Amino acid sequence: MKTAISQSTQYATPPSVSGRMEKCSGDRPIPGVGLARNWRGTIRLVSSFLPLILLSMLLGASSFQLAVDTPNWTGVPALEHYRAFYQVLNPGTFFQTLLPTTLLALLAGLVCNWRPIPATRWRLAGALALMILVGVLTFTFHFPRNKILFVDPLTRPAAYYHQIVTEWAAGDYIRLAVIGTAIVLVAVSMIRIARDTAPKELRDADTSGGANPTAHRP
Amino acid sequence: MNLRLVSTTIAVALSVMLLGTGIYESVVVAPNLQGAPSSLEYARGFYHATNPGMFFRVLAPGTQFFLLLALVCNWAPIPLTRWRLAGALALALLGDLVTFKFHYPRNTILFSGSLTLPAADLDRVAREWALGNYVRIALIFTAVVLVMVSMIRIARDTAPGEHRYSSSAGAR
Repeated sequence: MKTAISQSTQYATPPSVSGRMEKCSGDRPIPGVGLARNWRGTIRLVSSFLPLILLSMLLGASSFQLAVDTPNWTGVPALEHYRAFYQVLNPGTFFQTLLPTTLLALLAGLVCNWRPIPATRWRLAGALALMILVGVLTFTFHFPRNKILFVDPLTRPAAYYHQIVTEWAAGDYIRLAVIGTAIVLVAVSMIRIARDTAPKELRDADTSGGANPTAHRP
Repeated sequence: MNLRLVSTTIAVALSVMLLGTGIYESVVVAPNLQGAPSSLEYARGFYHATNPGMFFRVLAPGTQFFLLLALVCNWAPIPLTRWRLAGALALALLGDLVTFKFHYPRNTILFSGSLTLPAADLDRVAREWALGNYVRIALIFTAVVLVMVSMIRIARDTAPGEHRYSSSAGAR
């Protein structure tokens, strides 16, 4: 397939490619240029998939809390058991480490991918803004309710705590939706960056069966 | 809609979610299981409506389904990607095997049976549970790496024509 297309003259070499060929793989190659680009490409790619991993971990752990913990916060005795069980470590320890790490990873991804593709820059910036929003939501909405449920004395009627748990869960649905949106933005960015940083031989090798406009190159 | 890429991306997201919950259990839940029998009584008192098993019985098969879908959709184009995805699916299944063979008997002791064993034995079982969870995390992490590398390869392989040329490297 590739050999057949390679004889074709119907695909013109785009100017950017020919320009690169002259610069990097012409008669007089510039030493180290390919390696530097490869290194930069790897940094860009790693800095985009690290936030994807951390965001998905955050989504997984948050879903776990919503699906497993929240339904059990029914009634004062259950809250007492919850407080007694989480003596050594509590979920806050986990999220207070993972959320800032995710924010830092997103910031690093944004910095490393600031220049090359404007759309990717804004997607990553959007994901970072959404995760800052998650932090704000956690501090202003969930923390006061956490204090009522898990720290303050349980002296109010059960209906009051039920109302607080319902609000907490509703806020968590919003948090999950925001994290999910951030994951989509980062995944799309990562796909775009993976394509943008593809080694030359992968750009040339089309296994998807579509027309390969670069295959005519010698 | 590029089914090859979409199925792999969903498989990545789900397998990392599984990894995240596994780490959450190791970091947050497992240390609190020490101090039996009171810690286990508190856990049983708290998990009265739902328990972690209910969550994993949805997420783990869901992850395996999307790994299988990604494998089917990417069977032909790139042999290396096929084997990476097959490896990830095998590791996810192995993770479930560890759950059924190793964790379920310990779950029964810790969360269902009568707490008549000596406290030291219960703490030992809780420690074993936590160690087994590290094995599970290692398996899922390896699967995540395999699916992630596959996703990058598939993204590059399915790039539309303009993306094959639009390397910003040329603009720098």
